[in-house]
Amino acid sequence: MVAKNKTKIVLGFAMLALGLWVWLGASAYMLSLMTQVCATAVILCSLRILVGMGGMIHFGYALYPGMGAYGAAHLLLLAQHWGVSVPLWLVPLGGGVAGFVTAFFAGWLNTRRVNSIYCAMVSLALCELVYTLAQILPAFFGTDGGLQIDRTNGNFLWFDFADARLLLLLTAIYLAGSLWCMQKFTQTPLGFWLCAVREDAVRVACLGMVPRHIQYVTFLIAGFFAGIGGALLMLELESANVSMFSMTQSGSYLMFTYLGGLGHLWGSVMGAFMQVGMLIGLPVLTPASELYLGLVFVYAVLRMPQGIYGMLLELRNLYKVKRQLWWILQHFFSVLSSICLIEFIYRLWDTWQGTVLSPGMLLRQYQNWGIWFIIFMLLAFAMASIERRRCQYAS
Amino acid sequence: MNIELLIIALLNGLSYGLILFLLSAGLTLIFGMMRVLNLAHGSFYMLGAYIGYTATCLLDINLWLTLLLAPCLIGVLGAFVEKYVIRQVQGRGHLAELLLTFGISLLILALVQFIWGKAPVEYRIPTVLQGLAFELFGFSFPRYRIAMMLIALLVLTGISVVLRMGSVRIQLKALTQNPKMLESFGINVPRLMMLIFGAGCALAALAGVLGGFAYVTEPAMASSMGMLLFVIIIIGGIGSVRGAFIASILLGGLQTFAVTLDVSLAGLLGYTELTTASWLHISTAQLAHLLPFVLMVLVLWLFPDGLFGERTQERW
Repeated sequence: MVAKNKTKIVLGFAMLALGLWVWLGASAYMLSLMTQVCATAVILCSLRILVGMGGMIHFGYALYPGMGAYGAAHLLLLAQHWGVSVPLWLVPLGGGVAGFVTAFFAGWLNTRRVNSIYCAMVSLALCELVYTLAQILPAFFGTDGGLQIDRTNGNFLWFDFADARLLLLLTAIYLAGSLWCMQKFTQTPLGFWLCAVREDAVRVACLGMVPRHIQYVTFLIAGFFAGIGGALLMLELESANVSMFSMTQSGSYLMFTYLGGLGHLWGSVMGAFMQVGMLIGLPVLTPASELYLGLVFVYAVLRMPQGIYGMLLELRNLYKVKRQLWWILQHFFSVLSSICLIEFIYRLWDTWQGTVLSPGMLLRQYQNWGIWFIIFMLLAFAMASIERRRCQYAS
Repeated sequence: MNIELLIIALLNGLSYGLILFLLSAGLTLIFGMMRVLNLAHGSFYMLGAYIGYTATCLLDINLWLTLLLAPCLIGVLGAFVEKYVIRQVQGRGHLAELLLTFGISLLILALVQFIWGKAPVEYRIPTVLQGLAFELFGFSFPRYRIAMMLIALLVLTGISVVLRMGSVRIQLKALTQNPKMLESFGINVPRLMMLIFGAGCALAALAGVLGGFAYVTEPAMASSMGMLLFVIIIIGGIGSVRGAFIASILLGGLQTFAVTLDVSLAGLLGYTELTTASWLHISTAQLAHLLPFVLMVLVLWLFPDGLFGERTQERW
């Protein structure tokens, strides 16, 4: 009991410190990233309700956030057109309604068959339908750059949303509200019925419930929250664009929900951190970001089905960690050296393609790739020697 | 629109539909036997196209040799992927399999962008196939289209013959119905699945070599073709080869017609002073990409199991 209180106090202080840092000293880039994390967390949590609790594989999930973003953008534009002012804190709700309406139609097609593969394919194809439609209908979906909006049109009272910190605050409040609602949802009878449908739909039907209706209502709820998340994302980017519907986007929503952990709400929040970090942060750092993404996904599915949250829960048993210290160290070193190897190969190849095909030129431009090669060699050498020592020690 | 143009469009649509069928047959076969929906199928198609490009344009290898080599290479790769990656998540449900194949498609995309770059490559038509096959009322029909059609037909006939041969047919039938029973009869079921997956990937690579020069070879081709394939197997009914055939030919024909026709509502009505953003200006060529999805929604609405799919249980 004492330990639990201690954790809470530590967490509270950490939150306070984070808030202070955000309010006083965070850069604009960091603020933008954090707002995106909060918005993505709302989307991923709503997806977790469908996939984790309902067992419905939803591959085209970008449809709902995308429609939410467009709904909210059109709400703002219409208000501007008619010369009325919509308070900005209401705009995400407008996006939520747009997501709800989308789910009203898409959910009906999605829940027509028991087969989970059916649901995955239909959702994917529906999302792609809207994506294709968006490209040929510039009147509604905007031209190449997407639909530009100005969020300061939603200023109300003395709040001026040109300040990114206020937007972050708004997003964080919406995130907290959505998390609370979704946590409560898992404890309602409907939430329990949903889990029951995932486990055994026939049995639920025998008890007199209609599994299809349960799933449909879940679709509506998830669509609503996903719309809110999409609208928040739109407010941060100040534009709604077509690429919000792309298959890559849908796939990454599902993938990062899985990566964070389907078992618990906080897993999705961690997934959101991962998503923003890997999709927006990583390409700035390395040319091989897509390769890392694919590797992480494949590894997560093969070896980490419990997700990051599940892994952290496992790590809580410290005695296990001590026993596996060697394993952790080994994996840490091998991951590090593989990163160096990948970076080395990428840079070598880039340099080669940039110059005339001659080994001499390649050698002369060693600054591009040399450092990665040296680190890789050092790590590999260290690993090999440690391993040999361990083998001697063991025998 | 006259009758000659119609015939040419029909032939073009047929060749496109046959390429689509080469791909969707593999996909639906893999799904029917293994119950794995392969999201990386479009990526294997892309790999086939890039290997064809490298072999015929960069290394000057004979086209016929390439047509033999590329499917073998990709088939072996696919078999390896099945054996060492996909088999590990078997029995863990559809979500793991779907996400795994999605991850593999991302890896292949990263690999292709790394080796061949992000821009489209210039995959020229091999010299053997350049030129015109015949002229019809002043409209010419290129030779490579004929070759595409013939090769696709040949391969598909060969496959359907193999699939109908006594023991193979019985084994495959048993695999769809009761794999455990088949295994207890002494058949190596995992190896059979590996072979099927490899064969599906080889078919995709063959389609890639042929489709690569006929259409655009670029990193985006994997996802666009992959989507089209899913629509085809939804329309045809998941797991049904006959449905996949009819849906491929139908979609290939319809898309080609829409592109050939290329009229817009504004053009038909004679409005020219409208703004370009108006929906009246959408031409049928633009609608061609939308067509498969609209057709899919219609089919799902009227026949939820697809045109030829096995009837699954109605929802409670």
